[in-house]
Amino acid sequence: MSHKKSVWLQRALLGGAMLLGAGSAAAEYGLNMTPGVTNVSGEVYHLHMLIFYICCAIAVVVFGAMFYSIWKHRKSVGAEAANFHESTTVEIIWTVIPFAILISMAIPATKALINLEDASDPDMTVKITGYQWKWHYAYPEEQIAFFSSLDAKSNEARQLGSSVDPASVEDYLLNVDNRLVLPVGKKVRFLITSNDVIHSWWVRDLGWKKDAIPGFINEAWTRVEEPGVYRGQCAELCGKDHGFMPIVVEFKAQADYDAWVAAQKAQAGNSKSPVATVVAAVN
Amino acid sequence: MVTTLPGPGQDDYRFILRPDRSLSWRGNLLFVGSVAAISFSIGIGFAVIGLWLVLPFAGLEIGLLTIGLYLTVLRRHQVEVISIRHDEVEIARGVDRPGSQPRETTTFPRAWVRVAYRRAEHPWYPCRLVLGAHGREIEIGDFLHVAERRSCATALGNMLGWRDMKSMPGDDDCGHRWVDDNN
Amino acid sequence: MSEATTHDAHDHHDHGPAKGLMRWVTTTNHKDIGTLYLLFSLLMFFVGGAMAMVIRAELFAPGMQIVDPYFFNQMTTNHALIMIFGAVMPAFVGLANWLLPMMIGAPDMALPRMNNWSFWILPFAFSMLIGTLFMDGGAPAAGWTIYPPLVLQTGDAFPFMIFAIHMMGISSVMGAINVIATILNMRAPGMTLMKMPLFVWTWLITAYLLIAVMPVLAGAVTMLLTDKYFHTSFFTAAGGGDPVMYQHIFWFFGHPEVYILILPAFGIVSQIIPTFARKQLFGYSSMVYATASIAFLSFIVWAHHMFTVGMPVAGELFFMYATMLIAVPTGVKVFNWVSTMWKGSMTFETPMLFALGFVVLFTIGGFSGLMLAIAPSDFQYHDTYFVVAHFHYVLVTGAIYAIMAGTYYWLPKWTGHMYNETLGKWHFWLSTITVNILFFPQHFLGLAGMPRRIPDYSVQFAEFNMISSIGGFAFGLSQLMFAYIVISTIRGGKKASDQVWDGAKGLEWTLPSPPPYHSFTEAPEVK
Repeated sequence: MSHKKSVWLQRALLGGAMLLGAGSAAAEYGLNMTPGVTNVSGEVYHLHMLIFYICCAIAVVVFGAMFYSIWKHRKSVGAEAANFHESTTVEIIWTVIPFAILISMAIPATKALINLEDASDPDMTVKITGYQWKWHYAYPEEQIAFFSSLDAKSNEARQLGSSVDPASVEDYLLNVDNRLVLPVGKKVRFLITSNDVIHSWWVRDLGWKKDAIPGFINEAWTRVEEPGVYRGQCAELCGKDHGFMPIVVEFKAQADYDAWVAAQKAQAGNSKSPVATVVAAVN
Repeated sequence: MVTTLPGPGQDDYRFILRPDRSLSWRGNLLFVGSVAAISFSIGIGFAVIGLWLVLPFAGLEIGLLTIGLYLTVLRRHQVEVISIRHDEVEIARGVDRPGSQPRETTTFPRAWVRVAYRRAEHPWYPCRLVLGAHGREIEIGDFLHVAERRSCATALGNMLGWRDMKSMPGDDDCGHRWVDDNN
Repeated sequence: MSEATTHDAHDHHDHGPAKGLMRWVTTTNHKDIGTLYLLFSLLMFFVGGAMAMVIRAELFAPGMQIVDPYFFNQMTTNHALIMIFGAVMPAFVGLANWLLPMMIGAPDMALPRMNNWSFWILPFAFSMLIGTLFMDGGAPAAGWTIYPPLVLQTGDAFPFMIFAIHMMGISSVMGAINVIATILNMRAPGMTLMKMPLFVWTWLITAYLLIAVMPVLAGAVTMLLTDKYFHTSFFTAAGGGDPVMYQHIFWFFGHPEVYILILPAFGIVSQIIPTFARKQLFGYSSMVYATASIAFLSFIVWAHHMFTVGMPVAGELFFMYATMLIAVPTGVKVFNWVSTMWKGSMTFETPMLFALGFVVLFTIGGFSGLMLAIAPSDFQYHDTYFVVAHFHYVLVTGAIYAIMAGTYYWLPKWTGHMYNETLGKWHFWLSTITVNILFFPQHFLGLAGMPRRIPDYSVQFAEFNMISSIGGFAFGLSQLMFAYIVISTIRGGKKASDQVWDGAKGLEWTLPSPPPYHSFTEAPEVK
C-alpha cells in the first residue's frame, strides 16, 4: 500500500513538472499521432498535421485580432466605441476564404480516403471476429484460428483491489496470450465482424480502426514492410471489459511467418490443442 | 391595442380591444404546414427503410404543435368591442376573423353603467378594468398591457362615470415585482 | 365577481398564486418556471459532475482502485445523459422562459399551463433515470448513445431508461412548442423578425430542430424497447435487422441535438459581447443566416459520427464534405464576434469574461471538430480521448460557459441584486485554468492512442490522465463557487439598477430589476 502511495506521489510530481515543461516531455509520453508503419498511416499522419497547422494558422489570425482588440480597445485605456456594424465586402471575404481553405483540405483527404478504403487484390485474408471480451483470428487459407485475450499478468493487475502494481507489468493492458501474426510485404485484407455486440479493431500504427458489427463483414487492409510488434485496443464500447481486450499484431519476415504457420498447423493437428478445438468450432 | 372609433350615431363610440399579435392565421398555418411537411418526410423516410415507429411519434408531435399554435392564435385573436350607444353599452366578445360572430354579448343600460379600475386580488397581478351595472360586473381587456388598460379605463370612465373610485391606482399597485425585495 | 372569465389561462387571477411550495408546483408564470428550470439544471450539473468526479478518480492512475468496470460504464453513461438532458438543455429552456417574453415584449409565454407540465415532467424523468443505479443489474452502461446490441444487455434498468428518455423528449417538445408559439405570435408591435435579439432567433431555430428530431429519438428508443421485449428485430442482426441502422437513426437525431445544445449558447454570447464592447453586434443578419445554415447542415452530416462502421466510400466523402462545410457559417459567427469587439470600448465584467472564454475555447473545440471531420484522420481519432476532448471543449467551455455567462449577465435583472464581482472573476479564472488542465491533455491522450470509455489504461497514459484528473477535481470544486455566488445573489446584495450594464440594449433592460411578476406594465416600444 505504501509503495503504491509513493508511486502515486511520484507521478503527481511528475505530472506537475510536465505542466511546466510539456514540450520536452513530448517525445517520451506521446503527445501526438505518429506516422505509423504503413503508407496509409503515414498519409493519415501527414493529413492530420496539415489540418492541424492550418487550424493553428487560423487560430493565430483570429485570436491575434481578438487579443489585439482586447488589449487596445479597452474602455480603461480610453477607447471610444466605433459605430460600424456591418460590411458586406468583409462578410463575403470571410465566407469565401474559409471555403477555399476547406477545398485545399478536402483534396488530400479525398485521396487518402480512397486509398485507405481500397482493399482490392489482397495477397492474403484474415478474418477477425470480436467477442465479449476477446478477439478471434482466423486464417481461412491456412486453416488456422485462435482466440486472443488479455494476458494473465495484466488481467491479475487490473482487478479491483489487486496487489500487483500495473507499472510492474510489461505492456500493461496491451498484451495478449496469442498474437495475430502476419507476414511483411503482403497486402493483408481483414474481414471484420462480431459475434455479439459491436467492437472496433484498432491498431494505431496501421492508421485506421474498423467496427466489428454482428451480421456485417467489414473490409480493411494493411501492408507493413518492416517486422515488428504493434499494439492496439478495442475502440467501441462493448460492455464491462471493453477496456481489457487488447490487440497485438506481430509482423514477421516471410520465412519466420511460414515457420509460425507450420507450427500452428502442427499444433492444430494435435486434437487436444485448444486452438484445434476452436478451428473445429469456427469452420 | 385599443382603437377608438366614433359613430355611427352622434354620441356613439366604439372601443376595440385586441391583444398584441405578431403573426396571422395564415402565417401560423403556413408554419405548421412546413414543419409538418419536414417532420412527415423524415418519418416517412424512416418508414420506407423499415423503421416505421418514427412516424406515429411525428404525428403525435405535429398534433400537439397544431393544438398549441391553434390555442395561441385563438387567444391572440380575441377581440372585445365596447359599443357605447345612445341608451346602452354593449360588450361583444369574439374572435377577430372576417365573418365571425361575437361569441358572447353583454348589454348594460348606458345610464347605469360604471367603470372601475382596481387592484387585482393579489399584488402580483396587473390592475383590472371592470364595467358593471345593476350588481353585474364584467372584466374587459385582461390581455392588454397595463398602460393600455389604464388609458382605456380613463377614456371609458370619463365617458361613462366611475364606480367606487377614490383615485386611480398607480403603477406600483399594479403588478408587483417577481421576488419580494426585503432589503 | 367577474361574470365571465373566458380567458382560461388567466383564471387564477381570482385566487392569486398558491402559497409556499404549492406556488412552485402550480405556477404558470414564466419567471417562476424559468427559475425552476435553472435551479433544476444547477442541481443536475452537480449530480452529473459528481459522476465525472468518480470517473476522473478512477482514471487518476493505472489499475482499478475505486469502482469496478461495469460501474465505471454506468458513470460515463449517466454522466452524459444527465449533463445533456438534465443540465444543459433545461438551463437553456430556463433562460428561454425567463428571457423570451421579456425580450419580445410579451407578458408571459404563450402556453403557460403546458409550460408548467414541461418542467414538472423533468424531476420524475431524472428520478427514474438516477433510480436505475439501484436496480438489479445496475444503471444503463452502454454509453449515452445506447447502441444495440450492447444496450439490450442492460438489466432491469432498460425499460426505465427508455421511459425516462421519452419523458425528457416530451418535456423538450412541449418546451419547443411553447417557444415557437410565443415567438411567432406574441411579439410586441414593431418587433419584426429581423429585429429580434439573437438569443430569440437562435432559440426559434433550436425549437425548430427539436420539433424535427425528437420524434426520431422517440422512435429509435421505442424500437429498442420492442426489440428487447416484443420480439421485433429492427436492430438485431439475428432477426434480419440492422444494428448500423440504429446508429444512423440515432445520429440523425443526435447531430441536430448537439446543435440544440450550442445554438442558444451562440445567442447568449451574441447578446453579451455587444453590451460589454459598447458597440452594436457586427453582422446581425449574417448571424441569423449562419444560424439557419448550421441548422440546415445539421441534418445532412450525421454519419460523421460513424465513419468507422464501414460505409461506401461515396457516403464517407459526402458526409466528410458536408461536415467540413459547417466550418463556414461557424467561422462567420466567430469573425462577427471578433469584429464586434474591434474598436469597441470594452470592459471585462464576469459575463464578458465567460463570453470571451467561450469564443476562444469553443473555437479550439471547433478546430478539433474540423480535424474530426476529415474522414481518413477520423479513422484514427474516432472513439479516442481526442473526441472526448473535442466535445468537452464545445460543451463545457462552449455551452456551459455560455450558460454561466448568461447567468451572471441576467442574474441582477432577475433578482434585483448585483452578484459579487470579485468572486465572479475568481470563478471565471479558476474555471478557465482548471478546465484546460482537465481537457487539454485529453487531446494528447487520444492522439497517443487511448480509447474513450475505458476504466483503466496502459501505463504510458498515466501522466496525462493524472494531470487531467487533477484539473477535473479542481474544476469541480470551482463550480461550488458558482452555486455559492448564485445563491447568495438570490438572497441579497447590492441593488441592481434597471439597466444593470451601461452598454445593455434590448427590451428586458427597460423593465425594473427585478421585473414585475407579469412583464410589461408599459406597452414596450421597439426602436
